This record gives sequence, structure tokens and C-alpha cells, in this order.
Amino acid sequence: MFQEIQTGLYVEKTKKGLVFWTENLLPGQTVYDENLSGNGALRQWSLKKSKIGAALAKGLPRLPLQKGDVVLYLGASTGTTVSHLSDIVGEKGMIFAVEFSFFMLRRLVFLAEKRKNIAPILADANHPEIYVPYVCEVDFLFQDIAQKNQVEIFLKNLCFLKNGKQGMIAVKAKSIDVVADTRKIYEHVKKQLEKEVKILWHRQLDPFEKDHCLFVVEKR
Amino acid sequence: MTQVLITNCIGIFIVQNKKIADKILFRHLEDFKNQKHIAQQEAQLLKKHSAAKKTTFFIFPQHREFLQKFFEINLEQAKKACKAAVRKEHLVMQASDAIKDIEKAINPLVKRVQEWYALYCPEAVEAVKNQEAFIRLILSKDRKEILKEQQISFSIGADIVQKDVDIIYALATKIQILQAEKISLEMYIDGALHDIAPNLSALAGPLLAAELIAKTGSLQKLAAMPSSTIQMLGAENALFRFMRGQGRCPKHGIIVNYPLLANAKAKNKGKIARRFAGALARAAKVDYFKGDPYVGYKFKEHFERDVAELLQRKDNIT
Ligand SMILES: C[S@@+](CC[C@H](N)C(=O)[O-])C[C@H]1O[C@@H](n2cnc3c(N)ncnc32)[C@H](O)[C@@H]1O
Repeated sequence: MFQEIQTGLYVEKTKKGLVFWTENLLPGQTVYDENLSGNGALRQWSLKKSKIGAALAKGLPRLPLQKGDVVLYLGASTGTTVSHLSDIVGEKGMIFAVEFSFFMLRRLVFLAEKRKNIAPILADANHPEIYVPYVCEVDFLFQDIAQKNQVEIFLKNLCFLKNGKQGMIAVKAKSIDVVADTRKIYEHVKKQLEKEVKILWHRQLDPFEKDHCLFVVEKR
Repeated sequence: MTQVLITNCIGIFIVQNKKIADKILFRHLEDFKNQKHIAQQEAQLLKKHSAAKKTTFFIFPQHREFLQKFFEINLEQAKKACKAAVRKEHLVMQASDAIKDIEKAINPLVKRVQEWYALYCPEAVEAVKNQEAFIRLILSKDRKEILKEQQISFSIGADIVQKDVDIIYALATKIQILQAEKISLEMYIDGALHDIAPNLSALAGPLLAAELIAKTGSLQKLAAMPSSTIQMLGAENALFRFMRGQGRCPKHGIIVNYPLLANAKAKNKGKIARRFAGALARAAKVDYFKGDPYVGYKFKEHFERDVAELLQRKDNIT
């Protein structure tokens, strides 16, 4: 039994727990090794390979994303999570997918050839001034970058987000400090974020992701 | 509300209160790369909208009709970036990793052949422990010759039929091909490093030089790295464990394969590793900034003299 919890996003209650699915932009085709259902109309959202997938499983009340939205995605990697956002925003939406490793970018290019709502950008998210001519204002900002200054990077990129819209950052504690207590790190991150935005929700992503915490914020 | 002029990858725009008052769209990505063209067109728009101010960091408002254009330009740009990103050092890094792969593959295969061949002639396995020499031996001499050489009158291995022996030889032959492949990869790396990292190669030897670049990801990163990090490259896990309060602090990472270090006494390893890493850091910097390609030999000499003095001093004290 699939239940549509928001446009393009489905939940299925199984014996093992909740399973999330997105409406496949390209019915029948897979992007990574995910399961398909309903004759390929739905793609299963991996909880282990995608931090948004993990957040949904950990009770994220709502994904602040709709059909037609424009997204800035920092740290797009090979496009695992990007592909599900691409399903949700649909043909009329657009995802600016920033990635600074060309090994990863190659995969994004092949993905974008098929999914025409993903615009791959080779750039360092530390330097929004480099890609500001290649993007526009967005409805949703997402970041998954394992760097020491990841919070600073996120704050730098908030300028692309429309006022009143939401963003999400997956914070990896071990990148900020390998030895410090993770709870202390998250406390510090919280303070850093609160100076600039309103925190709506946050949750540690274990057991799906070790030492990660996902924050949902709103731009004032 | 003030008017601003902004130029982005799709065109030149006069924007007022998020609305587009006027625009000149580019025909293709090249237009955006052509400074002269941009300057001309900007001047043209500014003449019409004299109140507009030119800005550089301005977030372009979201307008549906341009999304497709953004997509096309970014995809084109990303494709070009992929093509341009491949450098000689990426090829060298693959070759270096291929050597590691081959080494990993050969080891269990030789062990398999040893076990297999021992059913037929355990005397050969017993006599030659070196992997390469063993494969060479069984492919160049048959059982009778091997036994004769060792003055053994009969083998305690089984007298299996030729068909059963041949299948072992067939596998051994493939191993020998892999061993030869390793050597040609080493020669390839040596040649390639002449162009991109001659000093690092002269100091560390081509294989270790390539491995250092592969471990860091690029010569650029290696050149920017403090020598203390270079010293620990490849020992990150042990280092993090130590920082968490478990285990001992590692003295070195992959640089331990350097003969002078590998053969040093345990108590001297840390000191030698530190000096070697310092020399590597300097060599990587010279290579990255395309400095004197022959200075690596001097670094090597200097490092070796330094170590000799260090060891002498230590001997005198103890
Ligand atoms: C953990 S992965 C992201 C996985 C992805 N979000 C997913 O779920 O499919 C982090 C990615 O961020 C990239 N990255 C790291 N630092 C970056 C930076 N400063 N700018 C852009 N990308 C960066 C890395 O190359 C890597 O591919």
C-alpha cells in the first residue's frame, strides 16, 4: 500500500518499517541500484545512501520541496539524492548540482543528459562568486559536504535562497573535528546556524549514517 | 527601486525589483567568455538605462523562461570541464594503482600455484620461496630436471598425467604475464614522471613518487601539504586511532617503503621519516611550480648525508 505524503513522494508501511518512494521522472529506469515498483513508476529512496532518505526514516515531517521548484544542491556527488529531488521537482523544476570533483561530475553529466532538470556545475561551494553567473534564486538549498568549514559554506550560499524558504544541511561531525564529542559539535553548529537562520528541525541520522546530523532551516 | 545591470551566462539584463526590464541574450556560451563582446553589449544597455548600476555579485531572480537556458549552458560547460580536467598525472595515478592491483592479484595466485604444484612436486615449492623465482623455475624446468638439480632421486609428489600438469603451467604462465606487465607499468611511470614530477621521482624513486601523488589526489595537493602530513600519508587510520586515545602514534605512512627507512632501526625511523618527508615536500613544491628539474638529486644527496650524520652522532652517544 503506497500512500502519497506529498506530491511525488510516497510512503509504504512494511513489516520492516517505512519505505519511501519517489515518482520516477523516467519510468522504468534506475539511477543507482535502487528498487523499482509499480512497473517502474516508483523508485525506492535508499535510506543508507541518501541523507534525505535517512532523514525521512528518522521522522522528517515534510520535505520542503514541490513540483516546479528550483534547487541549489551542494556536494552532488554521483547524483543519488539529486535523482530523487529531480523526481519530485519534475520536468518544470531545476536542480543546480554543484560538485567539485570531476570524477563525480562525469556521472552527473550522464545523469543530466537523461534528466533534463539537473544542471551540473563543476565548482567549489566555498566560492559562490564563481558560479553566481550560472545559477538563479532558488526555492530550496541542500548541502551535503564533508568539509571542516561545512557550516560556513552553507551560510555563504544562503544568499541564493528566497526569503522565507527552507534549506537543509547534513553535518558530518567527524569532518569538523575527528576527536571531539559529536554532541558538542552539533551544539556548536546549532549556535552558528541560529545566528543566521531559524532551525525548524534537526535529527541525528544513525543508524543509517554514522556521526551525521541533519538540520532543516528557514531563511528569515 | 534601483535598477541593476547584471551579466550572467545566459545574457545581460537590466533588473528592477526582481523584474527584468530589458535584456540582451547570448547566442551561445562563447559570448559569455568574450570580454570585448560583453563590454560592448553592456554599454549598449547602459546607454538605454542610464540609471542602472552594474553589479558583479547579484543573484539572478528566478524566471521560468530561462531555466532551460541555464540547463543547456551548464551541461555544455560541465562537459567541457570534464574533458579539460584530465591531466597526465591522472594517467600516472591509474598506472600506479594498477601496479598495486597486480601485486594484490599475484600474491594469492602464486600461493594457489604453489599449493597445486606441491601435489605434483613439493620439492620445488620447498626449495624456492621467492614467488617470482618459483614461477620462473617451474616454467623453465620440468619435474625431472628440478629433482636432478637438487639431487633427489624421486619426488614424494603424485605422478599425475601430463594434462593435469599442463593446466598448472597454464595458470603460472598468466602470472608471469602479470609480473611482466608490472615491469612495463613501472617503466611507463618512470617516463611519465620525467615530465610532471622529475624531482619527486629522483628523490623518492618513480614508484613511491607516483604513489604519493595517487594517495593525495594530485601534485597540487601534495605540493601544498605540510611535510608532517606527507610523513603520515597512508597511516591516517592509525593516526586517528591515536588521536582518539587508542594505540601508538604512527611514525610514518607509505614512505616507509623507501629503502633507507625500511632498513633503519626502529628507534631511528621517526627521525629519518621526518627528514625524508621534509625533502619530499620541497621536491613536490619545485615540481608543481615547474622549477629546476634537476634539483631532486641534490635533495636526495643532502638527505642521505643528513641521515648518515644523524646515525653517526647516535652511534657516538650510545
Ligand atoms: C558525501 S558526498 C555527497 C553525497 C550526495 N549528497 C548523495 O547523497 O548522493 C559529498 C560530495 O561533496 C563534494 N564536495 C566536497 N567538498 C566540496 C566543495 N567544497 N564544493 C563542492 N563539492 C564538494 C565531494 O566531492 C563529494 O562528492
